[in-house]
Amino acid sequence: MASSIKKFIFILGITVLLLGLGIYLEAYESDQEFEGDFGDLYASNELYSGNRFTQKELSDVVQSKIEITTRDSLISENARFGFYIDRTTGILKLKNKNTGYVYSSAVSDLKSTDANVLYSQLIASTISVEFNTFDTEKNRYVIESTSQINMNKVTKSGDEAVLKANTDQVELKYVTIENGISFQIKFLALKDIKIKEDPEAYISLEVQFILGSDGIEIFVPNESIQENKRLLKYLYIMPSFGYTREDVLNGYMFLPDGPGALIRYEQSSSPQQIYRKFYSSDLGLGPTLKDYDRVEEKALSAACFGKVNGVGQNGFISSIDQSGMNAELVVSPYGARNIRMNYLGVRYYFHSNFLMYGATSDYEKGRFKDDIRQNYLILSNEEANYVGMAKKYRDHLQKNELLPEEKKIDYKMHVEFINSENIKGLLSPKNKVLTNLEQSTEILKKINQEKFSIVLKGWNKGGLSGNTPYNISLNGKVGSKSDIRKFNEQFQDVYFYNDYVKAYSDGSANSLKDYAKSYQRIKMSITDDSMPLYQTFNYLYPKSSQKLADKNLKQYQKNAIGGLALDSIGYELHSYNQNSAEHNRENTKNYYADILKSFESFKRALYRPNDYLWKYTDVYYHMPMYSNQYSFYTDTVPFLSIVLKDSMEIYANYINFFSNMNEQLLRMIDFNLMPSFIFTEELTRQLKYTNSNHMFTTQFEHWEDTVNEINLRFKAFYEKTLGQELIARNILEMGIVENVYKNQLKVIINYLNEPYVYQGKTIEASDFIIVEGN
Amino acid sequence: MKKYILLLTLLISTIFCFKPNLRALEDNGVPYKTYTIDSDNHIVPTQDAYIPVKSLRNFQKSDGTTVTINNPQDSHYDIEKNELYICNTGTGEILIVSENLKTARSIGKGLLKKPMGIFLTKDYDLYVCDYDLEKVFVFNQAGELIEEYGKPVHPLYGEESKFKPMKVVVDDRKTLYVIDGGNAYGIARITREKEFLGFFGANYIKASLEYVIRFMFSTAEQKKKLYRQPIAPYNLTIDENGLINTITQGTEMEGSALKKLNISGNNLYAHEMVDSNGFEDVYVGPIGNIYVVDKRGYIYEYDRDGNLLFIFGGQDSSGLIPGLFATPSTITCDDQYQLFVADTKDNTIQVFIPTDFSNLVHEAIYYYQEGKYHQSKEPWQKVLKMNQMFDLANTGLASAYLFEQDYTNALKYFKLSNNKPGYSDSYLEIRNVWMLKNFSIIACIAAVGIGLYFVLNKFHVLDGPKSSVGQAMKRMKTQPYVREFGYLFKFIRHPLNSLYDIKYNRKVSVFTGIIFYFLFLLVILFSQMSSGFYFSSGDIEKVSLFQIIGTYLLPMFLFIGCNYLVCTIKDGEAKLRDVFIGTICSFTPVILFSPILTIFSNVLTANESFIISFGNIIIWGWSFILLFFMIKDMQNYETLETIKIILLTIFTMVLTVAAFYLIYVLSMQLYGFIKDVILEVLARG
Repeated sequence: MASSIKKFIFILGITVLLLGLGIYLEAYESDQEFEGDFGDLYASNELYSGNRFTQKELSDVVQSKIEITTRDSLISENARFGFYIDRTTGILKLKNKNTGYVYSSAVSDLKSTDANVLYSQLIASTISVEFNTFDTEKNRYVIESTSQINMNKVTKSGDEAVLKANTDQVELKYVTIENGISFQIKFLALKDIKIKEDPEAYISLEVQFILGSDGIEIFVPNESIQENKRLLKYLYIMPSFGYTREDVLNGYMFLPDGPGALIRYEQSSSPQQIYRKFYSSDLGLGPTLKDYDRVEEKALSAACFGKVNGVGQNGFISSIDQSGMNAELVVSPYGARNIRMNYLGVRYYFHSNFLMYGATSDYEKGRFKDDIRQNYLILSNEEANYVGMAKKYRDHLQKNELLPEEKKIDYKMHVEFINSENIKGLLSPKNKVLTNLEQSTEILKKINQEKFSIVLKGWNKGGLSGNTPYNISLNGKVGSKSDIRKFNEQFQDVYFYNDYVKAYSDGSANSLKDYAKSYQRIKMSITDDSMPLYQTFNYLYPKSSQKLADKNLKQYQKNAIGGLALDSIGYELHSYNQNSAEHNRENTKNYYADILKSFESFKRALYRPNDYLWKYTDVYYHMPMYSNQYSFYTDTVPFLSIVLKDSMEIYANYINFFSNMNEQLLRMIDFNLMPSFIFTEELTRQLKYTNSNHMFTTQFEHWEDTVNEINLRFKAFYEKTLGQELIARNILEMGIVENVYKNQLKVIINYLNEPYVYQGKTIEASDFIIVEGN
Repeated sequence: MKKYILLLTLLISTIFCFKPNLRALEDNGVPYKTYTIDSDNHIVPTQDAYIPVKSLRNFQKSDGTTVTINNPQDSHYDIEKNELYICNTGTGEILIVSENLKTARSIGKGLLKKPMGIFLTKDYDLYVCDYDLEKVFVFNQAGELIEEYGKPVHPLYGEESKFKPMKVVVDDRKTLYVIDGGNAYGIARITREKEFLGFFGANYIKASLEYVIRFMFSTAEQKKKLYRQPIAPYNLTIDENGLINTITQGTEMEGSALKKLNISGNNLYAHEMVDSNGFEDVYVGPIGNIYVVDKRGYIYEYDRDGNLLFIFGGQDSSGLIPGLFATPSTITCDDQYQLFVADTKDNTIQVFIPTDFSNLVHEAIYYYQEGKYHQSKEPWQKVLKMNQMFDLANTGLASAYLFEQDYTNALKYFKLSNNKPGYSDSYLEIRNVWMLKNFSIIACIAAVGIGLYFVLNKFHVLDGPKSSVGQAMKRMKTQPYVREFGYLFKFIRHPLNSLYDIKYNRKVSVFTGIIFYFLFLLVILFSQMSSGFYFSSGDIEKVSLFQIIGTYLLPMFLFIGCNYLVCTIKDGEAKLRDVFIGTICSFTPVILFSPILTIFSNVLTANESFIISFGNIIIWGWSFILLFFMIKDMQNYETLETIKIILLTIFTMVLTVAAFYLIYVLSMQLYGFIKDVILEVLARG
């Protein structure tokens, strides 16, 4: 009987359990749909006067303070320019015959109050060098400090500043060349007794200045650079070209920071000058500061800079066509280091310092092998603004075949899918499908849009994270080869995500052969402890990247893959040490360019590519909309998008993560960027224990309405403006932008949170209108 | 000079060389990332909440002169007149900046020497703490001095101690709460009539175990040195309800840097809150939300109840990056959630504006904490659209659903936010509704089940000699592993006999013993992965096999090894094999009954949680009793001897762990040494 009771209790228990399970499951059946839109924008109009936006122009007529004097002799001239030299000081002058404005290669009218002697000599010299001396006693270079020699010397007495050629330390020979002049210059040993130097020490080089139809070209043949018992550290060529004094003139300096940034001529809040390398920081020289709470610093992704001296009057854009990866922008706004000038130029750096094994100071033994080629393209009258700069720069790139040819670009929406991602499992990571191809198709059907630029992430067996560079095998749970083929046929622009620069342990790279070492001879690896799964990745030797890419080429074709979305390769650029030989960033650049060239038969989409890869770019993802907004910047401008418009498809960053939707959507219209989203079919919460855990809103279900709403606005805009060149961008009032296109179409954007009346038409708060005709 | 230039260049390039970032998703035009906490109190990224828009440095005075911000130590925003009060310590005056943030007037110039703290009452009396003059001055709206408070005359204030007022707040009764830099006892309370009421809101000291042990073994002289004083509050603010928030710097106790004190000085916030021991200033926002700035430049925002909403900002010594600070000193906020944060190194006040996202969060929280759950639903939904991993929004939305009696959705969102009490409440309701609806079906199923059982039993279908089920069961029992497995059940009923069988009759093989260990592991895994949400320890992804092995199996194996060694010396009779099998057999109650508890936990709520906890106590207690008898009988010891052996075993276990730890540390040092030598040789060679 006792056993019967036991069995009875057992059966009863099971019944209760089954019932409980019923309730439990039922509780999960229904789902909730979200609706609604976003709230109003900023309450504060203070915002629009800050450097997040472009400021209203003031126009005064600028009179050139620099003049051609009797000391200046003509070197060459053409229809637009006269090119002169003062042979006593080596200062070159360029007269714009159109406007009468004179640019000087160095400060020719120096005042004693302009700067201290040290900086005065630098800005008053056409060419200067900084170098390390050779300590004959210790038989080594003194790399802890540098010395500087300028072409000219400055002596001050009272208010007077007298400029003289530095004949003690510089031997200079002028050689006339076609349309220009060549400086054959030798920087001799220092006679300063404080520094013991070999009397035979010198640095010599040749710098050619050639007058062209657009301005001056600087050319330094690499083989002309000779170093004898000296290490050349920095070479300054015309660092103060186009300088202006204090805030006497309305104008600005332009930096390619993010989309573009301006520093207007006014007393700067910066106490110091800023030196910034083009492109990202070079990890090959050693690890940089790690602060995971910071957003990545926006890189100078194009090797150019410019100045406008009088908006709509005079200006220039300088393009560094060769050796940009060895150039550093020198920004000196008025007031920095008490210099009463605004100047902006570059210096070329050689023999970078680093810490061997993170402990001993050492320097790069070799020198970069490219010649230096830099162009100063002069802007006059209506060209003299940042839009003019962008157009001139674009023309220049096109002339040199550094941009893809202009083509008809359709309005598309960039949609990325996280197909599968790796999640923490009991023993090892397991692959979880978040959006398979069928679901991706369904999602795309729900968006009222015909053309897309689609990126599939996690299409491979290994899943999205922790597996780059991927083993090229399709994830069957995402879709089969025939599914892929069908998907490709249906949507045309489908890009498969991969990364040939950053390698994780589960990827296809070999950790012994392929993981790169920095100049320090330490593996270039980055660890982020906050990642739930894969915390460390290594940079690959560019040669290994190329090897893996080559290997994958056929596998892509075999798997019906026609488009590639390549991460990192566009914006990472590091020097490295392979087999005890140092290779600088120039070398890395060449490998990366070769990789992209080898993928010629594929459609290539890159994330934030630097200028040297634009030629190989069909699609540009994640175009920045904000500069670094350093306190001495005054404006943010859409320089980059004006340069690239109509040469490639340009998309903004994921709209999912915008925290000020209205303002940012308007900015996309203003900057001519197409929309971009990242979606999953599954709950975003599924990403919590994956390396994608920072993507906190991806589920399409929540976004469907918003995507369609946004798409309507963008369609209306792009229908009218696609293929139309932007010819002017005017700031009508604080927060009101007027973009004028070639077909006389005007787009007026009202960033304010109050309506604005434009020619009798009311533009609602945080809205834009399109006005056709005159 | 050149050296300095190089150094400076290096310094600047260091400042501008940030690391490559793995998470370059955001493009909101801010230099920092914004974080919040999830339900496990882990810091997780979220949408940007505030944007830095401008820096204030100079203001125009009505006489045409310019006043510059200099060492600003305190600030306040008057939302009625839209004026920003800045305690400009460097120039010894209080600046009142007008709404346009361009012009300012000044109070106290000439009189004040080192003003450190200010407070503005609702009737526009301005209280100013002057550190050097050791007084709290009161000015009226016209800037005239109307009152001053010196050092309180009271025995608690010794003759020699100084009155160094740093910060002050004043309640509706005009009682002053002064942070006195001269003492560490807490906040001095002084009435309008200058009567000293005592100290308020002192902090506590938490004695660690190490401290207690050291204290116990110290001489009287040493003890004197060990005495510690509590750290005094560093800054304070007062909210609409007259409750005082304090912050304390350098506190070692997590969760005690920010406090909300009730009338008797007790902290109203939960102890688990995320904070920092470098808090500099605290300010109450428009909906009772609390802003705190940390000396490393981070700005924390909490809701009224101390839930962390956002952390953002950071440190930057160059002063060039808006939104980051070198040495932040004070924070204040207007009624539009616009923040003003002062920096004493850059001498600036940075202005931040809220984003769409934080506006939505504020709106939702406002309704939520007012109990207007229904109105909070829509903003919470919008918040969740922008960040589906924002757990506070999940809780808020779940509460709204619970209020609307939509228990299914409430359950879903409570689960997403890991809110167990809320989940349990919703589940209880769902279960009740379900039970009411389906009671008749349950009764029918139960009746049919019971009826069926009796019928089957009556005709001996299950256990009759001819029944196929019965035959099959019998045949199974003859299989050796099945028989050995059956020992688990026997062990429960007759533990001592079974132990005898294991030891002398070898009824359980080592192989089966290993299977039992696997079973044990599976049972623990099952309980961690399949317990009902209310009883589980969190998401399934957090379960780690290695952790389970480390917590359960490794101590067991260590115990077996140590016990065997101790017993071998102490004339124990069992072999290693016996202890190995006997130990796992002792945990039979866990293996057999824990899964049942796990299954039951899925249908129970908080109200019945005692069933689970009580069940766990029984099965684990039972197991340890069996373990005791296993040692006693297997080794053939007396009870007292067994206790001794167990204690000795535990001691040996501790020593073994310590020895392994020591070996680990030493080998790590050796590794480090060899690595350094190689690197040095490579670098020099």
